[in-house]
Amino acid sequence: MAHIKLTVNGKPAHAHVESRTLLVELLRDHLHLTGTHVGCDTSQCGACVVSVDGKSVKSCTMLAIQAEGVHITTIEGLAAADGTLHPMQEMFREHHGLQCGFCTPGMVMSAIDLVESHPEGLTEQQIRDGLEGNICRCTGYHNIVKAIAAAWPIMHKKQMPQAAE
Amino acid sequence: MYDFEYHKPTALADATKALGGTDAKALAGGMTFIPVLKQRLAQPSAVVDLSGLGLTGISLEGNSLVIKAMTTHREVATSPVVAKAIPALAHLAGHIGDRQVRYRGTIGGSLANNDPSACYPSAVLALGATIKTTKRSLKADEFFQGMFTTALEPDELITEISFPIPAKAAYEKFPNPASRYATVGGRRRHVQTLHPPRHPQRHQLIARLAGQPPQPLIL
Amino acid sequence: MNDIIKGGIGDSPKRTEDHRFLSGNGRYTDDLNRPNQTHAYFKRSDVAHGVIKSIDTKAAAAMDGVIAIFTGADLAADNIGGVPCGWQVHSKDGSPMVEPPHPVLAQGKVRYVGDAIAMVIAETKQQAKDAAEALVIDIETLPAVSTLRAAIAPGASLVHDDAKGNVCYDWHLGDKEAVDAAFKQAFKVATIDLTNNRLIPNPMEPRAAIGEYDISSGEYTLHTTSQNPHVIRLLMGAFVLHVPEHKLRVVAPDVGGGFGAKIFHYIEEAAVTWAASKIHRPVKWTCERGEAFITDAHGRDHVSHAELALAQDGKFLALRVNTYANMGAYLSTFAPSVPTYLSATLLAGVYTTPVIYSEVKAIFTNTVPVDAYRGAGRPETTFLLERLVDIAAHTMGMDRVAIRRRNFIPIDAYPYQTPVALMYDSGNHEATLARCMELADWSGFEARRAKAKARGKLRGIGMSTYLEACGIAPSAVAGALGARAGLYEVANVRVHPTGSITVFTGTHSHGQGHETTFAQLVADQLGVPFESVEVVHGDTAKIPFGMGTYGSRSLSVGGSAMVKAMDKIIAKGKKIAAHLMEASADDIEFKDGKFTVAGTDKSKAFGEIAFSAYVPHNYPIDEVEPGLDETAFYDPKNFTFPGGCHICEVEIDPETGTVHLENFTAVDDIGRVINPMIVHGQVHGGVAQGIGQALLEQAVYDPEGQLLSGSLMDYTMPRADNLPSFVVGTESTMCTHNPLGAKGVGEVGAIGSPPAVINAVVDALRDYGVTHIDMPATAQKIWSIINHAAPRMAAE
Ligand SMILES: Cc1cc2nc3c(=O)[nH]c(=O)nc-3n(C[C@H](O)[C@H](O)[C@H](O)COP(=O)(O)OP(=O)(O)OC[C@H]3O[C@@H](n4cnc5c(N)ncnc54)[C@H](O)[C@@H]3O)c2cc1C
Ligand code: FES
Ligand code: FES
Repeated sequence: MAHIKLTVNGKPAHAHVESRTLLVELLRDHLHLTGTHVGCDTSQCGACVVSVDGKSVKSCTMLAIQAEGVHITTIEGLAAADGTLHPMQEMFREHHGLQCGFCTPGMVMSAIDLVESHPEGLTEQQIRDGLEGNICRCTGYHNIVKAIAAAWPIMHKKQMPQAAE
Repeated sequence: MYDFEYHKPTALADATKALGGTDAKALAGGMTFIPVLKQRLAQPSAVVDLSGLGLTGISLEGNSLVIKAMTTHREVATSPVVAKAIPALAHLAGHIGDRQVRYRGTIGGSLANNDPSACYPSAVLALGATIKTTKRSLKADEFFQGMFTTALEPDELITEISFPIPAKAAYEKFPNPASRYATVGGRRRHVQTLHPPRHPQRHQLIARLAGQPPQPLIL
Repeated sequence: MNDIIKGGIGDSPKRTEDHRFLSGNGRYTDDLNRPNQTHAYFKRSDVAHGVIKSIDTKAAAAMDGVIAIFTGADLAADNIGGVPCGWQVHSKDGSPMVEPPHPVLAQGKVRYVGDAIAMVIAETKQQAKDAAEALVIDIETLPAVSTLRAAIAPGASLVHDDAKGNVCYDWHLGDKEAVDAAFKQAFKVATIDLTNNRLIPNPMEPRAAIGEYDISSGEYTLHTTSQNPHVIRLLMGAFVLHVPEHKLRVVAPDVGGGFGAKIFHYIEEAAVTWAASKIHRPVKWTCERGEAFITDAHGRDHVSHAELALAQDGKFLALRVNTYANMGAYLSTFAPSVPTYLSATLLAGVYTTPVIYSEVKAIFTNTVPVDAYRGAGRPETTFLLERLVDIAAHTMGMDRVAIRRRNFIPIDAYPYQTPVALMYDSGNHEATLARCMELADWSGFEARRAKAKARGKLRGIGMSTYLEACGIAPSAVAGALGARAGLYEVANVRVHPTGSITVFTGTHSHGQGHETTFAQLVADQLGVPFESVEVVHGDTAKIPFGMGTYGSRSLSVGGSAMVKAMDKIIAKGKKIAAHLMEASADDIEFKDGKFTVAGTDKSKAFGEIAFSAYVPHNYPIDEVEPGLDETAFYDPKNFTFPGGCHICEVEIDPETGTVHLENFTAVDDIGRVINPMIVHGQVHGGVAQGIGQALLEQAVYDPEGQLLSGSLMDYTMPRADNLPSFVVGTESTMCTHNPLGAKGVGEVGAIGSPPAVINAVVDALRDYGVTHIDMPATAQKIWSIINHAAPRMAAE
């Protein structure tokens, strides 16, 4: 058992974990943050994506012990204390980018990273390619793609530049 | 997953020493190794995390591009140095797996794993790169020894890869529709090749591959 | 229902459920943990067929954290039954289907890779897994049959000794003689041989179950990932555990997608519930994805031969279909109904084919049980029919659209009695076709084809004009056809004293957004704000006995029950209002949330009536009971029949065989639309699954019965970059026999799309002499068609 300390959603957290404990298990089972989901065992589905030091990471494919000292944001950490949603969450709601909600936390965390790392703008194709690591069985992605495109101008506080063809 | 001892050395010598013990295994990005552990396909007694060794970085040395083993796919894909020296390599790295895999997966891990459907090994072979380890320098064809096997000894670590800068190179991947690793015709097979762009015989290449053992082709 | 009011019918308010899902506050089964909980892991067979010689649990039982290990023998000793099948089909000769027992844990034999042999319960999941590895199980392997072809071969090994030739039933429907006679008159005959590919549903939330037992009260509780908690309670309580309903509570909390796979009663549900009563601690099991691949019921897997007799003018004279359907190793809950009553009864499609004959043989194999998957039976029939119609057009040298139009059931022929039992109530196939062709710019296609050709690409367009049946009903008919359950639905509308409302529905939402749609329905009908309606589902301790959600039944059946309950609320409200306003109840009108004395300006708001019902100071107490809380059960008079037209446009790269989906257009007739946003979302998701079936997905077994496509590394799930944005529209005619006019939308996408895609692919390859490609149309298949056909073409 190792004792690890990290920051989760802006607050210090610590836990005793086995070496084999996965980051997602630390979040769900030890810290009771069950918004991060597990949808597969081969690191394909992206239901488990969280932000680790600002990068989207599949928390099922990282050991908890490797998270010593890092800053993690999970889906629970996005909305304001009064429940006001992050623009990405809000746009998923606005554009019906979720149905059963199971892929949604990972999808939203990936989407935020995607938008943040493309200040130059995103085409529909880039959004679709950028979601390669996230599987949704419900929505057919149509509305997810719309939601992400709609979140871009809000997050960057400017109009999306015309897509370069 | 079976339990194991976890080590995170900060010096290379400590890392190789830890690996010298019975059944210890190195952990790089974990993008292959952790799924393997999760499915209980490996049972190492100890896991040696290489992320504390400072083994990251990309540089030009003479007419070679040198990439340290723990450099992530993302770093290679977005590096201006790589983009200028061997753009095909940046393109290759930018199409490995998905965004999350590229943030953590490393070139050293990919080569050490030598999955026949992985992307980097074909680049290393086709470009005639040299693989530097804690013990020696190996040419690509000495390094790769068959599916999932390399010349690496249990306590030997890849430290960097040196690519001679070619006049021209291109990488094309025909992904397996499910795993998105490189493949052809629904079977796990090597088709990714480095060849001049818009090669007129591309379809013939695929046709030839359809009946052949997995092997990268150099055109 | 004319003007759209805010939050009412026809509006698209944002979904009530979304805030919790978006902020990580959803509560799925695996998110729940019970005090003092233990963890179960199932040791499963890794051979497809074999005799269990011995199970040695000693070493495993001694391992750290292990609490108990149970095998089939323990369950048998406790008189635990097998999981039952909910539908009985009879063979042609009147004999009932072969219905082998489906034990919770294997009894003597294993019959597929994934069959559960033992349940290990430990303090942690990892400990349970560690111990499962220490079980010593000796299995004598028997030859396996892993495909339909292998199972029906002479001398094939038998999955169940009493199923000779591995046949479960040999069923038929329709007038064989009339069909044979019509074929003699045929000008031409179009034929097809096809395989409807085997699919793995893969809802993103893996199944999970937590069993609990209260020793003081003798009550059992099961939390499970189910689409229909009452069905599970009924089947598990009555047939497996022998526990009466009042001692068994089943809760299906937030459920992360179902698509059919979470309808069925699975052995793990019974096992954890039973085990909780043995060890007196809660037992939790969460499926891993790899485990889901070999335990969730698979879908489709039919092999069919069909022939369509054609008159000289292109009229369809008769249809003859012969199908083999794979049941897997055991009969899953509704498996027998899928290739028969959910499939063959739709062979008329949207056409006036006067006589039809269908034969279906259901076959056991050493594979995971096969059951309903989004569309269940209707995608199989629609694919067969819509492919056959394209082949007929080709055979006759007719235009694909013209042959469809020639055979459409005309709008004035409704209600229309088909030759395969069903009576369609409404539809307008010309309207959905015309609108879809317009949205897809069908007429501009040849220009796009020419442009693509100039770029070296093969472009094709295809359509399907389909019709399907939802909301299986009425119960009496379903019962006569073999259903062992009623198929009504229930709603309880509870008006609170201040006028807010809680609706308890027997349907279940696992992505469909019922909390929103039903609230809109109630808000609209009772004239209260959308925000003041709360929808409760998924807990047998809270809701009345309902049948759950599948077969696109929730709005047409569940919504109709709700309307009936609201009618009772309004009727009662009128009596109260009449008393308060000193008028006759017959003179009270209810509209926009107000009870008004007809012809006057005297009125009482809905909230005032609600208050009065609970604070009955001035109240017609001799005539009317206090309270405003009504329950209604609704047993539909008929199925509903959604239909429509789907058009797909593809471009194929002849160098690699890759299919690129350029456009997909769907215009569906789904009857009344409550929330267009949600309806479109349902179509998107269904179409994505249909495209997945057509181009990407396939479960493959090797001859020994190992599932080769047993992970997301090997089984292709559609991802964002496989799909285009869709164009969807609705063009509705109302269902004539339910109060809402609703038909259902959950499955149309998955039903209508696969033939549209394959028809487009075949069209793109028309120069290569291709008339049919089995799904999935992978790059490999297409590449070899192109490369094997090319030399022949060159030689010609
Ligand atoms: C969803 C998904 C998609 C993927 N798609 C692709 C793809 O398209 N193409 C592709 O090529 N790959 C793909 N990968 C694999 C990915 O590139 C991995 O990152 C890579 O194969 C392994 O690198 P790693 O750093 O993660 O190594 P790890 O998983 O940590 O290690 C892999 C192996 O290498 C050993 N090792 C690691 N580093 C060293 C070293 N420096 N010296 C000696 N031994 C070492 C480890 O002991 C282990 O045995 C995918 C992975 C996932 C999860
Ligand atoms: S759980 Fe599927 S990628 Fe992490
Ligand atoms: S919303 Fe259900 S999986 Fe994406």
